[in-house]
Amino acid sequence: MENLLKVKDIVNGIANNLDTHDYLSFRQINKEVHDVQLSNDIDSKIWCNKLLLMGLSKTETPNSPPPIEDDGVKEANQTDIIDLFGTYKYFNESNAKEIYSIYYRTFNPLVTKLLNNNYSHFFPQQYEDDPLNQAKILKYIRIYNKSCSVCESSKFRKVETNLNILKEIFINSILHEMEINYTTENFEKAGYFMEILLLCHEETNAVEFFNSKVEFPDINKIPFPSMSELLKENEGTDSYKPELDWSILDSLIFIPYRDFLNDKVILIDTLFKDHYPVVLQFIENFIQQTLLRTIDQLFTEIDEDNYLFLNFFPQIYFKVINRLCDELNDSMNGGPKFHIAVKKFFDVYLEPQILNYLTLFPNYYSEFLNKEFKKYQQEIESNEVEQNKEILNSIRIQNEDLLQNEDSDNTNTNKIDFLTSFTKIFKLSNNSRIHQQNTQEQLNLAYNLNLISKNLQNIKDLISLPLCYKIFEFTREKIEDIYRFMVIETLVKTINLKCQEIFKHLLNQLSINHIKPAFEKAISLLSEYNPNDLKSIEINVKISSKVQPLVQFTELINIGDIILQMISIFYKNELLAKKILDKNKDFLNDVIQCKKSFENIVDDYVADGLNIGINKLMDEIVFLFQTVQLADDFNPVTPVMDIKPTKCAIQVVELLNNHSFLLNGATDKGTIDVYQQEIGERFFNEVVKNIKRNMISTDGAATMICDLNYYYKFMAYKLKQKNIVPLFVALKNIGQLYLISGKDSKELGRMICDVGKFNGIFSQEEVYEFVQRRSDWLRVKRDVEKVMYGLGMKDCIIM
Amino acid sequence: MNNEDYGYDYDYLFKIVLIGDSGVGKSNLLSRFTTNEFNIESKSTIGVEFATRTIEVEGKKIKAQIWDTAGQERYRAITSAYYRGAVGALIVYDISKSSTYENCNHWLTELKENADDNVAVGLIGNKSDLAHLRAVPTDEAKNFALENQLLFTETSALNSENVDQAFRELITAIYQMVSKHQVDLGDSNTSGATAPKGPTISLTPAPNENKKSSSNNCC
Repeated sequence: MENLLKVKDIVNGIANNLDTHDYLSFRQINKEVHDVQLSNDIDSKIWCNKLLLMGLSKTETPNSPPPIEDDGVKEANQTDIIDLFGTYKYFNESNAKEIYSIYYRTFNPLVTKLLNNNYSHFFPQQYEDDPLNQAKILKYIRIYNKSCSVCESSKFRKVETNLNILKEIFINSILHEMEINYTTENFEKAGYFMEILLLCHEETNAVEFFNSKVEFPDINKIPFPSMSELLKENEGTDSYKPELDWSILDSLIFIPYRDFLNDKVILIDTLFKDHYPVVLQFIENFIQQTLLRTIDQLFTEIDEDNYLFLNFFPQIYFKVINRLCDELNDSMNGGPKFHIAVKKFFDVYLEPQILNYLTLFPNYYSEFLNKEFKKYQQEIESNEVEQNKEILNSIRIQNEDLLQNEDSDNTNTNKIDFLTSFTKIFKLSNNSRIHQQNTQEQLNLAYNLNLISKNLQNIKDLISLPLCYKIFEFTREKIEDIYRFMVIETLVKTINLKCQEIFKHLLNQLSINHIKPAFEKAISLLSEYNPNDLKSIEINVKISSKVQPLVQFTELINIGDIILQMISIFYKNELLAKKILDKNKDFLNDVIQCKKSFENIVDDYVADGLNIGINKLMDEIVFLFQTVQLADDFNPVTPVMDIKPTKCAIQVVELLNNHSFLLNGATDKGTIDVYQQEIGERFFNEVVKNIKRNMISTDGAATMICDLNYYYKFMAYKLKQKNIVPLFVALKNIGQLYLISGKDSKELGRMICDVGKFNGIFSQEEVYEFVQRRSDWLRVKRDVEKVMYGLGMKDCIIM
Repeated sequence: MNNEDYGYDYDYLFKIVLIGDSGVGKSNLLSRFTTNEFNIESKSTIGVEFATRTIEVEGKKIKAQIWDTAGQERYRAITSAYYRGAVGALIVYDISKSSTYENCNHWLTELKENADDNVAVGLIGNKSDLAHLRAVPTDEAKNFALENQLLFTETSALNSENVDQAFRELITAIYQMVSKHQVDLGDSNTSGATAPKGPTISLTPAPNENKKSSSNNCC
């Protein structure tokens, strides 16, 4: 048998399976075992293993000084059991045995007690009344016991079992103590026991204890107000800005909830301190069990047609955040990022509600706008009916005498005609009408003209700037509300899309239900208007005011332009500035397309209206040329004494002057230029026609030149459209054709060939046509034509 | 006999032409005289412009109908039309630009060729405010005027200097000639001898004047 001890593996095997005490004896069995089989190296390895099993760290560098001085080891005997693991965290091969012996001396007696089920006065005397350190000692025993887990497994397991029994008894007594202290509201003390519990890794027990003590507010006990109670009525019935009585919700829900949470935050801090995170879990439970159900109740039970939800959800959401997150106390248990974490919970749990709002709101918004615009439309229409009645009455009062002479029965039936048939009037030709008119028809006409004149004056009311402004403001606020959700990163994309959708609704509603009907009405009124009808009224009628159709229409253009600008500003400040839209990235985005097409719609209406307006203006000018320009203006019977513009020219220029600058300040320069150039060009054509309509003598030529100078002055110094001025320079030169004496007929012929004289504006044929309007044409014709044709084109002298 | 009876607010109407090179300031002289305005950025005249002003000479209201010409008209037929019926003319040059003065001879010749023999003519050296740039000595122009029996004034349309005076002198000269002429006319008529030479119609007496003279004749 003795030879067995010579076998190294056997000796090692035995040594590895012996408990500490037996191993020490076994190593002493003989010299060979002590010096060879269990040499210092092997011995030290065995101690090292035990320490490693206890979780201590081995320092490898052999040259480095051992972490514990010899003196330190000797003094270790005095080291308190509580401090041991803190003091000896490291070892190396040379001091492993010494360090293990320190732990052994301290813990082996306790282990022995456990093995013997000897629990009385189990803890060292100084810790008899110190459950916190007792908990630590229990923890240390378990750690120490691990050093035996390999070599003496049965003993190890027995110790574990008994330790568990002891710990259970210990925990129960701690829970008991905690209960007593919590019930007597000695929360500090309860917190002390909670710390012990957590030290024992009894987190589940700890949280369960807390949860069993907390009662969430009872939703069923909240007396939810009715919808009408909740809405503030005293602010007037502004459908754009309904207001909630927040004090009701505050006192019923938000303040009690906030106080409840703050109360618990303090309690959790007292009980758990920062030992174990509980507060976030608690708040999550609160959101799930209380808040979500409260909000649900709010929006389902008292809300009618989702009104509260669609009008107030963002405010309510941010009220929740404000009261139940921002106003929460700091929490030691929650750590420095407590509020951020709480906010995240709200965002996560309320996200479905937010998404629901984002889905429903744009359509609701669109419907709302639709209603508002329609309401305005109806107002205008009823005003118009009202006004028409007034016009009818005032005309009847003014002409009562006339009406009495008429057949009275007839009058009554015709009364209805007043309101229904004014289109007929305009189909009658100007000349025939005056003769046909009996008094009744005159009245009819007067009524209808008054009507149109009044309606023209109302054109600018067809688009309501105040209404548009209100709607823009409303939209801005709503987008702002939605934009506040941007802080929730997961929603950014959806929010951008929804804001874009709202903007598109704004443009669509504005264009379909406001701009379009307004411009269409205005344009139809413009085209019905005939200035000459006003002049044919003979009876006793006060025409409401001098109607200048373009004046009225340009006011509409002005308003339209303001709205376009409002949209641009809105687009820039709300969509671009808030990065709801990236101009560079999203240039194909349908929002931009939508905005462009809106602008195009307005531009088209403006162009159509202006075109009609210019037509009307030209009609008036032609009317003046036909009625005020007299035959002897340019072909006087007696020599002209006083050379000055004709009455006709003065009136025509006044008309031009009154209309050419109406757009200034109302729209962009491009439109103004087009408008003014169109007027200039069309007026030029009318002047040409007017010259050709008249006979001009050399005496009358000065007067005509005077008129042409007068037109030129207006074009060159007032209208200032560069490409129009040359037309009137050419006209000035045409005027000279009539000044030339009949004796100089040959030179007249040469001038006709000199196209350069007329800036290339008029062809030779046209100049020839002009010359034919000379009153002495028949006398000079031969000479002129001789120059023109007799010499041939090549012979014409270009001077 | 009252002028208003006939709807005229003047006793005589004189046609006066403004001639001279382009850019010498004819249009501004005219606007200074008729409306007391000066336009520093005025564009060059195209064709012909008209302006009138009525002044009183020896108790008579005289309406001056002034034709402001472009100064670069190429067609003789047109210039001839300008001069037709003119009883007075102002030939304008720029004292700071000798070429415009040198051309006065040409303008005088053209005037003589086209206008009535009795036309009263004034020579105007305009832009006298540009004294530091003077290129035409006053004496030289004065002598030229003397030789050709022209009135002479240096003016500044810019600061109004002598503008009124220049026009007044011309109008007065025309008036004196007309009233003398009318006496001649009256004499010749009573004698029933030679008809007056030259286009007297261009002297355009107002209708009341005609009437006056005819009534004189009768009684």
